[in-house]
Amino acid sequence: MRKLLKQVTVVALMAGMSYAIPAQAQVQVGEEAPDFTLTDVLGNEHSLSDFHGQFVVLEWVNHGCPFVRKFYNAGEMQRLQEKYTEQGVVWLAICSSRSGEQGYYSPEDAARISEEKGAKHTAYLYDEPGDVGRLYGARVTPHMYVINPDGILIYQGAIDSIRSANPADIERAENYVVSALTQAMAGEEVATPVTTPYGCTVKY
Amino acid sequence: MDKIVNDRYVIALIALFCLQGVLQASGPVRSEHVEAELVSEQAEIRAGEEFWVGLRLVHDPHWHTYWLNPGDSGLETMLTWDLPEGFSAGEIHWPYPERIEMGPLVTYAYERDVVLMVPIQAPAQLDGEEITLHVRADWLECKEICLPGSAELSLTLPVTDQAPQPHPSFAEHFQQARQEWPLRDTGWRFEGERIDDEFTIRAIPPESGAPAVDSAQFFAAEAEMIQYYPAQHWQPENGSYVFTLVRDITFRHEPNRLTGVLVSEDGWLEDQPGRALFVDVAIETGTAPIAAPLAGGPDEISGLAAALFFAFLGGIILNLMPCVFPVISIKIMGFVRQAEEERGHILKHGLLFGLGVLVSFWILAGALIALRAGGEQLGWGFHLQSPVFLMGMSVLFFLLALNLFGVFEVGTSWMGIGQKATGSSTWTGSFFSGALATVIATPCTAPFMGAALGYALTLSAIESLLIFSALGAGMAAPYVLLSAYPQWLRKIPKPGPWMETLKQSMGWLLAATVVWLAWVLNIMGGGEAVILLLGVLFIVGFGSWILGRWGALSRGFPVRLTAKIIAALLIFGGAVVGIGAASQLEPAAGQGAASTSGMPWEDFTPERLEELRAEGQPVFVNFTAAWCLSCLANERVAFSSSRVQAAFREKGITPLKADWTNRDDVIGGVLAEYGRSSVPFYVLYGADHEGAPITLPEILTPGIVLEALEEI
Repeated sequence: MRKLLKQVTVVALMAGMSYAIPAQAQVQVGEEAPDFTLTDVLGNEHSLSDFHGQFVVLEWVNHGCPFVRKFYNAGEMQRLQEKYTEQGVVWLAICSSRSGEQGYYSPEDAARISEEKGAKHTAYLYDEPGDVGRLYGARVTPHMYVINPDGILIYQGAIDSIRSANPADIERAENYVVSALTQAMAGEEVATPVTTPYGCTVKY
Repeated sequence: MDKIVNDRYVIALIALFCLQGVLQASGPVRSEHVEAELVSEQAEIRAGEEFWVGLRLVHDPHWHTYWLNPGDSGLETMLTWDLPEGFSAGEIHWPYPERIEMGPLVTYAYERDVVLMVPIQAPAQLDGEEITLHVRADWLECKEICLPGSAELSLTLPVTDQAPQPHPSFAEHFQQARQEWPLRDTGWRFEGERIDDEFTIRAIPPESGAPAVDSAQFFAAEAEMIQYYPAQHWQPENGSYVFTLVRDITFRHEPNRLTGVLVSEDGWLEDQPGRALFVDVAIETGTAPIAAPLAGGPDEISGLAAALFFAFLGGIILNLMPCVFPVISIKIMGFVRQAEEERGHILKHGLLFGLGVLVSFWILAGALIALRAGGEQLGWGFHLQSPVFLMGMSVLFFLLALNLFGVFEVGTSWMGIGQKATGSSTWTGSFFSGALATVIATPCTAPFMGAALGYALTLSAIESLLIFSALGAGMAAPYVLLSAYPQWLRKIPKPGPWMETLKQSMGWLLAATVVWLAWVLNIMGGGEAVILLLGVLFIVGFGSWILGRWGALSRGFPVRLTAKIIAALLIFGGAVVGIGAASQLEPAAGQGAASTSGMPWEDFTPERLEELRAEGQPVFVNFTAAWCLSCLANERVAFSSSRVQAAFREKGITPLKADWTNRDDVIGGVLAEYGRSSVPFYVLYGADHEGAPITLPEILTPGIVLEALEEI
């Protein structure tokens, strides 16, 4: 964590010097996914390294975003969360919204919303002020990442192939997270490891 | 605000009812924050003609909809047409976008009111009095938050057989929109290059002239190519403009062209308004120059002529370097001997020596240039970073020393000593002594040479070779001159027993060189390597002794032959085993140019430097290597001075040491950024992180260092 803070400080200083902030993903498919520790709605800490040996899905979430609502209101996100967590996959919903911005809720509200929506993720994690989002280069909600049991990033990008906020498109689209998990669990290469994510800007 | 919005909505609705009497079929439609309307440039349409319609988007303040490529997030606006039979619609002609920053994310979008124009082709035959066009528009409207918007829009236009009239209220919006299209076929040209993850694009104005463009912003038309956030550093350069883009590292596409739009308030043409310029640029990849371009490189060298002059001067001074001196002194003795001989012979020897120097400079420089072009981070003196070379050199110097001590005589002496200087074998002797002098000389970076060599390696291969030739010519010049004017040597005593004394004393200089090479080897390969070297030298020495004891002419032929065979086996066998073992040596980690100066050096990494500078701390970087004698001299003379150390402490300067004893691509790369390819090199950064660094000369005294420290 201290290292991360240091990185962020350096980045901030560089911004002051009118250098470029890498808004791009710092993470690369095929490389080790960087470790992080975040707190969930109940105040429990979760580290990525706790889940070594399991598939991990990272879902950047903002319940005010219409693209996130597209999947939650249709019940699709919950269905995927349930299906994969039952198979031993760890599903982490991460909210990088800054306090006061859209998508940021108090732990009580976040827990209530998750329950109302019937979310089945392993944990809903707070990433205020967005260090992990920047570390992973999360640009939008929902921005999805899949990490294999060896801790290697095997997918990053959009949730599916049709860039819209219309729930009617879900059925016709290829869900890239499903494809990546299916292929990786079958021991195959992930056919589409990187896509352009679509959705609302993460509210850093 | 909501109140105003609602009022506008009501007025719009009333207008709609009054004028058209048709709900939502025509006129503007409002989503939460955007008003959308399908509009036409003409009031009427005529059969067989193309005409323009457009989606007019009016945004609430700070709300925006997206361009063709939305950037880091967002969705481009989409149109789905439902047209009467025979009509066809073209693509959207996008006005130039605006750059909208949200924290570290950048999107390409419109906050201003725009018309997204689309050409419609009418069929040759039109029945009826009017035609109605339908379109479904989908967009994403965002401020801090995003909302999807969509509308079913339609537009009814009367049919005419006259020339169509412009639309009274919208024609001017179309005129405006056309001015926001990127200019094409302007005479502006573009050249692009990509090295690793950075694109450098050059924009060349048309010959007919163009306004001065003080700033401009590039928008990529295709996704996944570039990162949208980084600064583009638009700047004029020699009558054209240069800017940089950073590749999207997530996707790692290898684009061979980039398309997009350059936007500038200054405009692009003298005779035509328009802030946007269409860009289609071919990208050349992977043609990395011999070295990285000079980044604030040596100012003291302004051109090739100056570099050649300094190289020549540096070459002359090379002769005085401790590692060259023994070879040179032996050569001088050759001259002394030759002084009695025919003038022509002497000159020929001198020229051959010079040729030997030159040719070996060409070979070394050629190898260096070729390896660097292949991407290796090497610098001058690179062969001293190889344990194999060190081992071979040690054996050779040891043998030469034994030879000079008189342990053994070689029939065809490579140095032409004790020989009549007329035999053809001594011609090659002169040539090879020139070559040897060059090889030994290279690690001694003479003053002026560092900058000249760094400069040389940034030039084209031909120019580089020219510089190295000047260096070689400088080194050979004294001998060629002496051989042309042997009378200058008249003052030296006649050959006699004193020459044997001199010869033997030079042997000790060579022996000392072996000690130095062993020390470098120790730093590179550890004590094990030195023990190996000592073993090899023992065997080689033993072979030499046998050769001298029983191989001399005073012995009978069978004895001589046997001795020579045994000696050859021992000497060559020993050398081969030693070199073979040396090639297996792993460079010893964590060891390097040992600090004897008492300065609290920290290991250099580019990250550490960046960190210290970001913290606003002054930093001194010492680029050094164990095989670099000037570096070590500076350590002893300048950095061990208590006044210098006190000044470092007082000013809170962090001393960093970049040790280049073993090959290190990172340090090689950093040196290249300063336009250098050799050590020693010293840089001092002040506390002000914007300020340019101060570079120090290659030969330091405490005074020079203290003076430099005063400047920050």
